[in-house]
Amino acid sequence: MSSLRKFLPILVACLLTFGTAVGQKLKLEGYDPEHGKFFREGQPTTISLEGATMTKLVVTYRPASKVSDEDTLEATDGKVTWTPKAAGLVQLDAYYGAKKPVTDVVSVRFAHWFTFGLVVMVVAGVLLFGGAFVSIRALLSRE
Amino acid sequence: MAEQARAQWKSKFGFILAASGSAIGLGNIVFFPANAYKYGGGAFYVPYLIALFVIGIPVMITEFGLGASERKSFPLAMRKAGGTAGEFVGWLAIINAGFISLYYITILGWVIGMGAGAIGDSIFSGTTDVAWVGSSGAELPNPTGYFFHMISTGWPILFVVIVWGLNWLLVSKGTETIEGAVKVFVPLMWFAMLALVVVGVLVLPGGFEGVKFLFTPKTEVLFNGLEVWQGAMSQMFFTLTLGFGVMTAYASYLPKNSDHSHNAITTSLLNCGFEWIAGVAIFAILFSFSISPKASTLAMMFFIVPKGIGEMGALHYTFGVGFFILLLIAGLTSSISLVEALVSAAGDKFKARRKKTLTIACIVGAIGSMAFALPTIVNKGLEDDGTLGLTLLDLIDHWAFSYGLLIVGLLECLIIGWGMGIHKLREQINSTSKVRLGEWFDWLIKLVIPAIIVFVLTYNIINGEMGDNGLYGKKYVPHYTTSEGSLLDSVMKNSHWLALVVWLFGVIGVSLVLTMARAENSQTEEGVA
Repeated sequence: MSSLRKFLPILVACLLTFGTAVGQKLKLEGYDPEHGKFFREGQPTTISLEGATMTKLVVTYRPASKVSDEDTLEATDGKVTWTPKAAGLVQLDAYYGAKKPVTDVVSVRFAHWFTFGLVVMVVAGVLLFGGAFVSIRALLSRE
Repeated sequence: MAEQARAQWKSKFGFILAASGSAIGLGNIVFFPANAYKYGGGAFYVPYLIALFVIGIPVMITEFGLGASERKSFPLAMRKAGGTAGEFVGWLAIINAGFISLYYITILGWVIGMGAGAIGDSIFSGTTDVAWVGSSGAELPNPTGYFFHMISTGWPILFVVIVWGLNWLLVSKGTETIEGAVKVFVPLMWFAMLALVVVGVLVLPGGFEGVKFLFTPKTEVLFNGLEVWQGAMSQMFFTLTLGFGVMTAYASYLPKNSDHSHNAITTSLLNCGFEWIAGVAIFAILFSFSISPKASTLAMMFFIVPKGIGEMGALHYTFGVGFFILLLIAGLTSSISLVEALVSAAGDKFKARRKKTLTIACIVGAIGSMAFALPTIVNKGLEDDGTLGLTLLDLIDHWAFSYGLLIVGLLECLIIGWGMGIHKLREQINSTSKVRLGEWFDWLIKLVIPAIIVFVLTYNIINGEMGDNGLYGKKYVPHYTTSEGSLLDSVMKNSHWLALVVWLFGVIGVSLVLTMARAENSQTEEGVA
């Protein structure tokens, strides 16, 4: 139950997001998660702002984690061409002159099959569920 | 009073369900996925699995073995292992667990509140006017708005009383009622979580990409500092409910000839298997709806996952209500074990009647939980971001959960390892177990695990507490301020020190009193209705 310390500032973040988002919105070309259209690792896309001229875009891969990675992209004519370098959750902060950027989180699909991840998934799964299955079977047979 | 035999679980499977139900709680559903995200997805599994086999299973075998061999709850079993010092450590575990159960049940009260909102379909969309924010209130998007409005009403008080009432009912007849409850609740929990996985992965757009995201390792985190290792070692203690005195209390209702190694392996694997599934379900939701987790249990539970569920279209109602029911039963199977550990300890030592002890514990507990939930302590004067109730919860949790369990674990290993002689317990465990423990087990308990815990505690204090942004670091700025110069302002600004003092003196003081209190000599009626 630890790591609660960031809980309360969420209210503030919520207020700020709610306050600054009015009027400005990120325009994400080809991005429609409701219909399964996500960005894809390695495929360029164009990002701009509706209601303001973007000056720069800060891209944070895996935000709020110990392995987050940040890129800053300067805008040309209010637009940025961004090529996601990693899959997963990515936070986009679009600056347009105001103090607070317009923020959005997007999902980026993997470009390749996740071989290494699959190994981790299978090893952990087999160890945990295989072990539990064998163990429970032995328990029930003794009962 | 006539001597009565100690109650027993009706079946080994019933015991496994109770022990795994105790271990599987709110943290498994939301804290593990938050940690996995924070520490590089699949990379987190490497230290996590190492911690399971090096720390989790050995300490659980020890706690099971101790409880079953002594057939006493934690404090008196520890007394056998290490005399008065041992009993003091036992009470330390119980009282620390008591602190945790106070706010844990408040959170379960809030789960009922949010569940009621889910039933009324009013938390997944729209906004809620939260009157106490700022000078004139604010319209906040749900579920955040609904939550902050809900905790500022009187309802959580009623919900807290309901949860304590449920605990009373489920613990009232000891193993009989606990076993009856877990036989329904634990399978239901697995079913609900599996349903969430099926929908998350197969139905949600991009759901399987979330699974890839969870398991694909960011390996640099393993070699870039020690934090991920510290995180995994801590996680293992918390997730298996070690250092609470719970597993010893539950095992004390087992026959002496039980296979403790087998029981510990089964319980641990079931717990971690549940976390594996929870990770899959939560990551599918996070990816599908592009929600960044904040690595905070409460935020995941009340804002982030419900927000994702709210996006599920026609399915949102069923899964929204189901999610809060899942949280409630997962929380209840854990909270009853915390209450049972306390009641059986008091029963063992003072020969008090179970129902009397339980009733007193529930009344005192309900009052304590209300302190975290009372609407009057929602600090309307705060200019920025908080309530006093949440602040208290946050700070007490910081010490009781992040430090209390590890300190108990450390002392427990040292007392059993060096004081009692772990080889004696190992020989006893081996005499009834198919899995035979070698001498390596002794060194794990005597040396390796204490060394790891000392490392984690030292790391936390130096890098966490005393670090620049730590709670006790130079740059710490209290979030919780109010009218400058007022008494409340002074209290709030120093609340992090106040919480430390309250927790430290509360836990140590009460444990000392209970250790020194005169015990009744005759047998107790522990576990007996």
